[in-house]
Amino acid sequence: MSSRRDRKLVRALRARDEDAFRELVNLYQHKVFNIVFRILNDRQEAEDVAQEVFITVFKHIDQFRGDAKFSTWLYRIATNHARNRIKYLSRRARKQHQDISDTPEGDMEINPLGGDVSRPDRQAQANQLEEIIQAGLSQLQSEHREIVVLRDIENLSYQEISEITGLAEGTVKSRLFRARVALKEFVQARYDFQEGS
Amino acid sequence: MTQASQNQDQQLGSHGLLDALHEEQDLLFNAYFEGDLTAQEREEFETKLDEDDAFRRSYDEFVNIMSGLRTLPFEFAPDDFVDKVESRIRRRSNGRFFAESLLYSSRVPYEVIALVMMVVMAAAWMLMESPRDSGLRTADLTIDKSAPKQGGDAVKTPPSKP
Repeated sequence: MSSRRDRKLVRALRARDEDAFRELVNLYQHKVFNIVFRILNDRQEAEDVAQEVFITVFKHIDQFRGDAKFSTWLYRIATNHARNRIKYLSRRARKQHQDISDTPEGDMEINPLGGDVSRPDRQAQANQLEEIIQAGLSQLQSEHREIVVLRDIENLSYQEISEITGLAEGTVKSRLFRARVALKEFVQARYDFQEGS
Repeated sequence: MTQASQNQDQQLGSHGLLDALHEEQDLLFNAYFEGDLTAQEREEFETKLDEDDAFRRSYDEFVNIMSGLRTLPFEFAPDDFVDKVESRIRRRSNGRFFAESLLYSSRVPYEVIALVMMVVMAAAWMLMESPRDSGLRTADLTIDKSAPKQGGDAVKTPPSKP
């Protein structure tokens, strides 16, 4: 989206223009949904969070100063919402785990973000690797995961990631390195590259 | 863990040293992948890739994982996503969120309706209270009182000329 179009859209959004709102959601819905889905690894949660992202944008459009690109501001809201949802789900999962631990099935593991890789032999080779990578992604620490999503999936620049996350570029790079190493180790432990499974 | 890295582990035998070597290798892979190496470092790295099969395999695995990340299928929002967001906004704001959305407003504008009703009622009251024979009274007032009181109707006479 061009900056002129950005400015026009933001002006219309500030005037609570419904058509502008629909245009905004139409333009960014898939991008926002994809980012949030890759961070949460759950379609239902991702849809709910993505809706909240656009509501936040519309409610707080007056706070957008125009220093950064509009998309950067939007992705910052998206990653913040996704991060908060992860915290909420983790807290809820811990509570449920405590509740369940008294039952005979108490030793079952609860992963709020899914990541089932228990059936590798049923998938085609490419899907298998993809599944393991997604599972590995969901096992990363949330602050590492969002950087991998922004850099390696969304292909954003370090500067954009720095603006979105509020971290220094050096911190972004070092977190990305740690995340990639962790992901590599996770995948290598579950996938034999020489055999293709 | 791959066969190559397992062999490397057996040869070296020390975990601390192994970790350091692995970390150094990961750093190199990452820097090469990101294009952060100098020309000389890049040349050395590529020479090692050509000469060391285990190094090459390990790097290929790293690249496969990175490529796998980049080719994860794009997840699209559901078809009714825009409508869902909009209805959520309307529900939460009682329809007051959008500027010109009275047509779709879920909240009845009671203030406006009340005002309109008051104006209509006031207008109706004024119409009902206004006298219907006002035209006749006005006609009575135009009777010429200076006319002689005779049996017939009073007749206006034009003023005599001097």
